[in-house]
Amino acid sequence: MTTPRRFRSEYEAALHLHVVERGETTLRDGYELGRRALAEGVSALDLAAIHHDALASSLETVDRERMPEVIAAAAAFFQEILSAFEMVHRGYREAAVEAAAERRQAAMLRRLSSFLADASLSARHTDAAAEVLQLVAEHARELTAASYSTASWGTGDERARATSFDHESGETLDPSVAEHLERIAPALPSRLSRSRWAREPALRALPARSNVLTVPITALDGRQSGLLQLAEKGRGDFTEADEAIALHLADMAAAALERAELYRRHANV
Amino acid sequence: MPNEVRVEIARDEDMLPARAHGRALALELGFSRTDATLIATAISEIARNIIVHVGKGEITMKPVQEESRYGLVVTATDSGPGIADLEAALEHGYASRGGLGLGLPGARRLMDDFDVQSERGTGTTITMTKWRVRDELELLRERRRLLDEKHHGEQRPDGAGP
Repeated sequence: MTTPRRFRSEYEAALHLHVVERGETTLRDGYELGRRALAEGVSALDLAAIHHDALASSLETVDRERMPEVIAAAAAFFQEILSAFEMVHRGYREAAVEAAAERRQAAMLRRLSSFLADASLSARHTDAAAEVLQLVAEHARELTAASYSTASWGTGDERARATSFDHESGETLDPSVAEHLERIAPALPSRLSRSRWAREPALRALPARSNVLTVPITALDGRQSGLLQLAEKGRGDFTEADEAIALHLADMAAAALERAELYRRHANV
Repeated sequence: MPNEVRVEIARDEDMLPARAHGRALALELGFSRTDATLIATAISEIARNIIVHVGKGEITMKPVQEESRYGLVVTATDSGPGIADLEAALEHGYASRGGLGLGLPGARRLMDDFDVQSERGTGTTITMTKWRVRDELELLRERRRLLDEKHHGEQRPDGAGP
């Protein structure tokens, strides 16, 4: 990118003025120039070169003993210019982190999808439900950065349940609290924040204070046959994106569980 | 603790006192020059936001002290039409240059905490904070100073200290 000559001469004039005045007005001019540089596509390397030339020309007319203060003033001006670049740079960094998280999520979902489609799951039918639930509980926990998760399906003797917790941190949810959360699941909002936990009558008395994400595992005919519950998200509370992921996993689980059930019935006939 | 400062924002020039006070408060609270510059930039972005999209409002800058950190809380309020799509405004900005990551999303990224309350027809309040963690030496010096004041409080009624 070539540097417009006008920008270069304006920069030089603004820096000269700042070195003389050293006030907020000239610093603000620097900030405005930084914004303009971004909009006009001036690169950081160009800016550094322009600044260096402008500083060198400012120093030509300065006595030796005044040089340190002029250089310090010029540095403050250059910081103003760069702060606009910093803003934008942080935006790129944020986007890169988000993109990496999305790629990781997509890879995990693909992996889970191939696990669930694995024919061996249905062949060992007695364990099929437990295995599906375990896979889903673990993936849901990892994808939402929760410390604890549980997935359950079916009722009575047919009920299967799996839990997963963060082995690395060793953090998990008190089992009595976890059971209580499952029992009162129908009364819970899909996303419960830590701060709301304290205001929830059914939870206030419990020893732990956690955030909770609850989604149903719904069968093809629409009846709710299971539950996926996540708790103890370390940083912040569960987000809308977390809820979408959990719902997606619950759907994948339901499809795999129903298919396993069909296989089993077919084998028994 | 320095005092709270309030600046009315209606014209481009009003950005100057807001920036100057924000910078001065930041330096008084012990923020580095770099952080003070970033704070001045974030203040400029929200001031510009008020000038361009609402017309007028005000910016308040308030120092806060917690045991292990100092903070500078900047609050911008206006009674404009409110922000229609808050999520989009925070993610991409809504000015033509917002796509670059300036404006509200830019200010958000320069500060540590950032919160926007906006209601259609009532206005918008932006609260943003930059924190500075106090190091061990600083805490030790303060404990010593407090002890000192306690012991010699009566001999030194002028209450020496920063």
